[in-house]
Amino acid sequence: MKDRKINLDRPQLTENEIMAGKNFEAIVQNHQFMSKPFYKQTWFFGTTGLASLGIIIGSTLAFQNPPPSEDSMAQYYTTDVPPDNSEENTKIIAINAVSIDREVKETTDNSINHQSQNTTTIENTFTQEENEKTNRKTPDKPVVPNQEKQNLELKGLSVNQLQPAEQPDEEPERDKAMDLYPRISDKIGGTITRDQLLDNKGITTEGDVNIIHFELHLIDGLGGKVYSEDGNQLNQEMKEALDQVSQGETIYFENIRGQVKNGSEVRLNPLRYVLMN
Amino acid sequence: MPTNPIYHHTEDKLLKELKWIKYAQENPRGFEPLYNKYYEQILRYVYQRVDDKEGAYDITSQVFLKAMNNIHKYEYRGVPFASWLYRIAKSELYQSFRDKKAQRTVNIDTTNLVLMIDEMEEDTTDETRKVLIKAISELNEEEVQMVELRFFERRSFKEIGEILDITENNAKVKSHRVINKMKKLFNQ
Repeated sequence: MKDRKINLDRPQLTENEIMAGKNFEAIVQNHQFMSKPFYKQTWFFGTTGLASLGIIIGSTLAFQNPPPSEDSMAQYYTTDVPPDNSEENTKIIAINAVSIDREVKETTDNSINHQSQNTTTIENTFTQEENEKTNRKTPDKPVVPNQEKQNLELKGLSVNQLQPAEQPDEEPERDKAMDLYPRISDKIGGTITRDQLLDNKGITTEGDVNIIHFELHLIDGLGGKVYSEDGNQLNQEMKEALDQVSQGETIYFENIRGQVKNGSEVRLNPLRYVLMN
Repeated sequence: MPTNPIYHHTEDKLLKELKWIKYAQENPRGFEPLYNKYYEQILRYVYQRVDDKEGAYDITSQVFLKAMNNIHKYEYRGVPFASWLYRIAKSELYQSFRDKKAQRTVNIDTTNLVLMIDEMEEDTTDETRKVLIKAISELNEEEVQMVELRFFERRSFKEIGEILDITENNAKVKSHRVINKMKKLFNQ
């Protein structure tokens, strides 16, 4: 016996039954759907539309925070180089009259690239005549004439240059995901006053994490120094160093480590502030 | 044996149909006259070979959809457009049987059995009818197809040849072979 069914005297289709299945429009629609190229079909528009939407939203979210300015990027790159602990480079070079004088004199070949930028700026403040005069008078001593004036100019320039172009004045909006973000005086970035920086709470988080270690990186155009502390409070050495940091400079807190309830260590996001006074 | 006259066309009718085909090749909406003309024939052909109406409607729709999609490939050979549609329908039916979307069914009208019994030169009794039905169930697919086309649907050898894409003579030969086989089964 084959796999087939045999019906005897089954009723024939009636006229109504025949007409019930007749639908030319449906066939035309199916034909149009099948004969359309794939790029004209609805599913293609849907898929590409959703993908485009995803890319747009992703890009918007990714670029919501403005990219750091060139200056701050330059400073950031310098932090990638392990700080040199030699005598010359351990000095914190804050932009003030006294330290600039010293550093201009002590500029050496092994200084990092960013130095040359500031040096150029200083030279630009001289007139050609003054330079020649100065070079003739003091070939070994880089003590320049009009020192006060140059310092003021340099100070003004440097402060302007070091101010990040688009530093957010207000603290970024928070959400629950930021609970483990470290903060100082409840700020997770942006500008900070000296008082806020030196408050006695130190680095904290809103989550259940104890800060057990952090490093303070003080950077300027001529180099920088790293201070580390096991705990969440700034130590005396750090406070003294911060006293020498002038307005508009950026302060970095890196390698912030915390301990969660179960005892395991977590590494938290670094902090970056611009000092306001 | 009387045959179904619907299939056969005069030369004029064939030429008129050819105009419709050319129009349909240029514009899918031009397919409508052909659809209206052949829908019933194809539906009955399909329904004769499946068990349920819905399955027959689906397969018939697929047949016309395929015909519409491939109308640009159609070549006129002096035979009715229906032969092309029947070949598509046959292919769609076997596709449905393979996909198990429909069950192969042989619908036998007992009045048609009389024709077969006459062809086999046997007496028409209830007993012979039963034996004949049993014999049909023993045939292979190609043989059943021939029985359906020739005895149940009463098609001419010319039409059978065009539907099965064989010559008229070949259709005759095959039909006689089936009858001889059934005679043997009948006398076992």
